[in-house]
Formats: sequence, C-alpha cells, structure tokens
Amino acid sequence: MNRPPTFAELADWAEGRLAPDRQVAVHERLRQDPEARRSVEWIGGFIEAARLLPLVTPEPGLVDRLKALFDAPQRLGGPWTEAHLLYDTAVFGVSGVRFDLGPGERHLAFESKIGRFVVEVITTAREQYVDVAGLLLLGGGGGAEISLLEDGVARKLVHTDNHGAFAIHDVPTSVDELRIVAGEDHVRLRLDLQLP
Amino acid sequence: MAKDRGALAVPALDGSTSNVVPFRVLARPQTNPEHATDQELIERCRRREPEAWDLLVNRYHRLVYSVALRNGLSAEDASDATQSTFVALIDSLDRIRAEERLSSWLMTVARRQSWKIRNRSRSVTLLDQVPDVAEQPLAEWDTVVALHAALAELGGTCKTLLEALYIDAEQPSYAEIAERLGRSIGGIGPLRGRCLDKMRSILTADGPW
Repeated sequence: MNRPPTFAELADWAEGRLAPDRQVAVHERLRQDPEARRSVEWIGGFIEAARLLPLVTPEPGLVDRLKALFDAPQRLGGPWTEAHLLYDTAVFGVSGVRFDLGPGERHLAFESKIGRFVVEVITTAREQYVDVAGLLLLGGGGGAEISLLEDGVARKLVHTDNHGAFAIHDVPTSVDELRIVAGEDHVRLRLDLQLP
Repeated sequence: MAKDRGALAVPALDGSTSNVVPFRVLARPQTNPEHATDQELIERCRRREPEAWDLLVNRYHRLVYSVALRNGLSAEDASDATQSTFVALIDSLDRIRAEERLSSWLMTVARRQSWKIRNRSRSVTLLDQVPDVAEQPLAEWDTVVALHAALAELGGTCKTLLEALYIDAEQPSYAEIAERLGRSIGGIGPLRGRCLDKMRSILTADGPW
C-alpha cells in the first residue's frame, strides 16, 4: 500500500536515510505529489541554511566568565573613587623603585582609598596586546574583582588570588580603564597600556 | 533563502539603525525551566535572578561565539567579543522590547563587536590566527538570523535536537544525541520529522521560506 509519506520519511529521503522497504513507495509519491516535492525541497534548503553557521563550543572557562558578569559589582555602578598615579616607569623613576626596565615592560603605582597597588604592563608576542599583572595589598583580607574596560565596555574580568595578585593575558592596548571592587570599595583609574 | 520576517529597525550603539527580527511570544508548557521563553528569562533577569541569566548564557553563548568566529576573529578575540556582547545584554536588559527576538539582537551586537575588534587588529593579525572562513554575504546573514530566531521560538527539545543534528560543529552521532535527550535512537528519526515540520510552520508563517 502506498500510504502518504510522513514528514519524517521525507526528511529521511532528503538525507538518504530512508528504510529500503519504503524507498520505492516514497519515490513514487514524490513523482506524483508536488506538495511532497516542495516538502523535500524545503528540508534540503533548511539543512543548507543550518550549515551556514556551525555552532562552535568555546573554551570551558568562557561560560563561567559570562555567568559571573551578571553578579559583577561593576555592573551595579559606583560610587567610584579615583586612584591616583604615584609613578610610571615610562615617564620617570622613583628612589627605591626598580625602574631600569626593558622596552617591553612598564610599572605603574597608584594610591587609592584601598591602599597602594602596582600594575605591570608586559609585552606579548602579539602587537597591540599586552599582559597586565598587579598586586593589591588589601588590609581586610579577601579578594577583589578586577575588570578592564575599553570605552566603558568590560573586556576582561578576573579575581585576585588569596595574596591579592592578579594577571590578565592578551589585553588589547586599546583598553583604557581598570576597575577594582574590593568589598564595598569601588576604585577606578584611567590606564594607558602603550609600552615605550 | 534570505527572508525579511517583518524586521524592526532598532537603534545601534553608533546611532545608526539595524534590523532585528521581532520576537514573538510562543506559549509553551513550563515544566522545565530550560524551556522558558527568552522573554520570560529577560524579565527574570530584570528581577536580578542569576538562575535566569545562567540559562540565557547556556542557551546563547555558542551562537554568539560562533558569530564572532564567523566574522573572522581568532578564538581569543571571539571570546572577548562574546563577553562584550553579554555585557551589552546586561546593560540593555531594561531596554529590550518584548517584541524583539533575543537571538537576533545578540547576533547583531556580536557582529558589531566582532567588526570593532577585527578592525582594530586587522593590521597586526598574524596569518596563523585568521580563521579560514570568509565573511558571510549579507543575504546569507539574514538567512542565518531568521533561522536562529525561528529555532529560539521553537525552543525546548526540538531546538536541542535540530541544533545537534544540523548545526553543531561537533556533529554528534545519533547515539550521542539520543543519550543527551534521554530517548532511544529509534525515536530520534520520528522526533526529527515532527521538529522539522514545526520549524517549517514557524519559518513559513510570515514569509516565503
């Protein structure tokens, strides 16, 4: 009996998966029924369109970072207090401070309401990208959340380790702001990541 | 097969406008939280429910990341573009209208972020970091946006199944898909037929797909 093919059978036909005992019947139906032919054509078009953008799974850590964005205090606003530059090895040296650095490295120190901290900018193999590392000496213990922004948009988000250290790799030199959230304290500073 | 499904003009970050396929609320049983509609999840995110945000991330991070890759970014830059896109979503939660389709909104923002990153680093990108995929012509882009908007509307098990069968770059086997869905291998074929039929109904509802 040549019963009308189901949509599932037409999909099987389009993909070459149809059971052998139904192939003759479905083939005959397609020859006679323009609506069945349109269905097969649609299925073929859908599969072709679906393959235009294969869904790729990113590295596992990205999902965790995306989920952490929602609770990031940075999204909730300030009030922010500004950190002030104490020294910049690209501009001048300070007594007691190691400033004889090579052309691929730069140290900046800041004064803020959460204390003094240092940010190191280090060259990478990629032009216009640097690594950024730092150390916060937080009096009350506990970690801090560090975010780097470009034109007000967060590009990187990390947490300090138990010692207050942080490291962020492959940071575009177009990043121009660093924000720190440590407990109730919100500190931000303008950042110039260009290396001498 | 590029189709205009009644696209809305929405303001872009740079002041221009771009087309986003409108969101249509589709009533679905709410037995599984992962089957909540995008609009329901957005409303829960507005109430600061982190579980809703996690579901949105799970639902769309691969799409956003894949758009970034498809627009010529390296894996590292695609991760940055994905993060920037989701930051933009958080910043826009109170402004996304109910009639907008979230998948289309995310794809549009992801492409804009990708262009921004790519143009910044175009002159210095090393050859071994350039994906061997050309940028899609606009007509194909519209097709992809419409397809993913329809998948979002389809939702639930059907969305998971069709993505696994036809869109997942890892091309899982029928056995893997069956295990993922908690079904027998023999049940995948008929279910796929029903899901394709539903997709056809959605895609042809407003246009000549």
